[in-house]
Amino acid sequence: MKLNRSPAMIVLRVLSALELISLAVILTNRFTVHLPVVTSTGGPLHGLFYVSTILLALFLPLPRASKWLAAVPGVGGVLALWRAHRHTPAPADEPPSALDLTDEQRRQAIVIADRVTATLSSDTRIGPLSFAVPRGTITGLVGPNGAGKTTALRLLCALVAPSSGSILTAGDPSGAAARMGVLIDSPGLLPSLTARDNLLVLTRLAGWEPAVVDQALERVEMTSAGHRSVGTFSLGMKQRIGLAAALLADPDIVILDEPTNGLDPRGKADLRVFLRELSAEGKTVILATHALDEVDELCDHLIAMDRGRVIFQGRPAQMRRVIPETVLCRAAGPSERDAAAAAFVDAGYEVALDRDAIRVTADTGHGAVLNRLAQKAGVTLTEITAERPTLEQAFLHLTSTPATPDTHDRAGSEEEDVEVPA
Amino acid sequence: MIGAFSSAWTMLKRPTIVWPLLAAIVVFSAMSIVFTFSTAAAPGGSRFTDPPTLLADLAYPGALVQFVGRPVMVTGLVVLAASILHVTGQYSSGLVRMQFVVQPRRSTWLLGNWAALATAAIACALIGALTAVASGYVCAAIWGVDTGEWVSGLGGAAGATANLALGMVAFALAGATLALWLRSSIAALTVALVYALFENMINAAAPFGQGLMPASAFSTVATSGLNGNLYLPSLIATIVLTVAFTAGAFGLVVNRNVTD
Repeated sequence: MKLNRSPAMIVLRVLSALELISLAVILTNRFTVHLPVVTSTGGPLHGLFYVSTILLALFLPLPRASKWLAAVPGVGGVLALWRAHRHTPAPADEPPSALDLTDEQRRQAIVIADRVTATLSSDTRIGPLSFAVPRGTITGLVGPNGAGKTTALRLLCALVAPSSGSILTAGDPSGAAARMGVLIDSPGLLPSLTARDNLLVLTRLAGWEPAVVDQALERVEMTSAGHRSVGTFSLGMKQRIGLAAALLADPDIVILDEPTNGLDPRGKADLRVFLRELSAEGKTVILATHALDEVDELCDHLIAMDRGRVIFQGRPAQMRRVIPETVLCRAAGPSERDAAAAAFVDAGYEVALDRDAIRVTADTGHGAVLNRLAQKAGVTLTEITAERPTLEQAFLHLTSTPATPDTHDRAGSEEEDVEVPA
Repeated sequence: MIGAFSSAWTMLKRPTIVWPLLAAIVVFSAMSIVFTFSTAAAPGGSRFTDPPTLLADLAYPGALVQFVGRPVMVTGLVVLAASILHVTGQYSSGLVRMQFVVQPRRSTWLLGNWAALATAAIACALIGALTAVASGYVCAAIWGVDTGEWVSGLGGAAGATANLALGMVAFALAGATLALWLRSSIAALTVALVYALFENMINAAAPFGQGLMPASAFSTVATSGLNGNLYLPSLIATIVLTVAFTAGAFGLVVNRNVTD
């Protein structure tokens, strides 16, 4: 960890030692020789070292508990250093191979993250991450809490600097950097300013024409509320202003983190329509969310993360194929069920018996074939139902396996079925 | 740069900062002058100065300079708190995330904020000084103090106002740096107050450092050296410290991740 070798950490070590030594000298003097000079100078000096240690520990990026420990009189610095040392993260695993993109995929990608790692001040490490976001798609970034989705988004918009690896964004085929609009976490708005002034803060900082504020407000249908303080807005209205802020620059990429959080069903539906409109205009939308039904409905492409790693990227249909499709067949009774199951096994299918039903592992188009096989065996099936795995089932399947370099970068391509190990 | 200043100024002039800030400066400036006159009017003069200040002493030409520098510590604290709230407000609301996306050159963001805070600090100094001088005239009329000689001290008062402005700018930028460091208004205000006690301890242990450490240097400059410390060393220390704070702030803004 770089911090351990930094000059500030060396100063903290020296101060901690001085704090401890001065306390030892004061106590030794107090119980032995009683030298007045030690009593008069030792106290203020010890106080100086004590307060300095607390202040330095406060400012250094140590774990929070270490900062509190630094306030323990006399031995606080030593305790803080000991705690920080114990909680220094282990070195990262060897990075897996970089994402192997075809030329076509590389040409289509508006964002390419290549072996990106990031260490946050709270000693959380994510990565190595490698993924590509195809231009003009709505790309869903999914993963359980703590998977690293928000950090990945912050890496994309340069709010967090990568410790290693690179992120490329290309706004056009010439390679010019893409313009971005973001809405990460809650909309970042000052409640005592009006909606218009909040947008003006961003517009002036970026050096854009003030007219873009009116255009953005109109775009999210908030022109009439532009003069009102944001503090008086409902969550849905704030979210709209947040979207307006994200659209100020007419961005190539719109990054949204949990944009439907707290919205009512009407607000969610409006947002979906809005995102489709953005996509139709050729903008690339990157959407981090927990709502897999939303991803299924909206996204053309998705990236799944777990424990700081990318565990899948590809189309939603490809992710579903992580779990084999099944066909559920029912027969009139147990003897018919067993006869049909035997016929399916003889034909090379994998089957599982479930009361009066047979679950056959096969693509959903195999219903007719199974029906014929059953008829040949003299059994009439009473029900044939194709069971397509949901995105949620596929996601749970993917996240139930530990994230190791082997499971990293399960990538699907347009031409072939998903390349996921069984 | 002008755009960044204008952006920061839009945030600074919001009602939740402007009105409490103005009210605090006007009230404390006026109160400090009323307090000066009322204690000087007591039998035997003010017990807070040595020798005691009498009402007759307030008629001399240098009285205006004294009035301008009187509310320094309170004004400085108010300006420091406003700077802290201005910076931490951008972090706590999440606005800073969008700001850094629309303006990836974070140094531009910082320069805009620095310029806006410095302008606000100068405005606060002017308002404080004007309030103090106006209160002085009102109080002089109430307590019957002759103000005939004050006119000759107006030049000195202007100089004192300039010093007050410089001191306030230093307080503002120090507060903003602290806020950038901690990103929490409560933590930054607590550290500022604890630090003031810490500096007092150091000054008590090593008096030769008085007027050279941040709080005492800034207040010495803001009071034009009327607090007993040497002006010139404090002025140099103030300039050096302000440059150091600015350099530190640049390092923090450019290199630190925005994670919260």
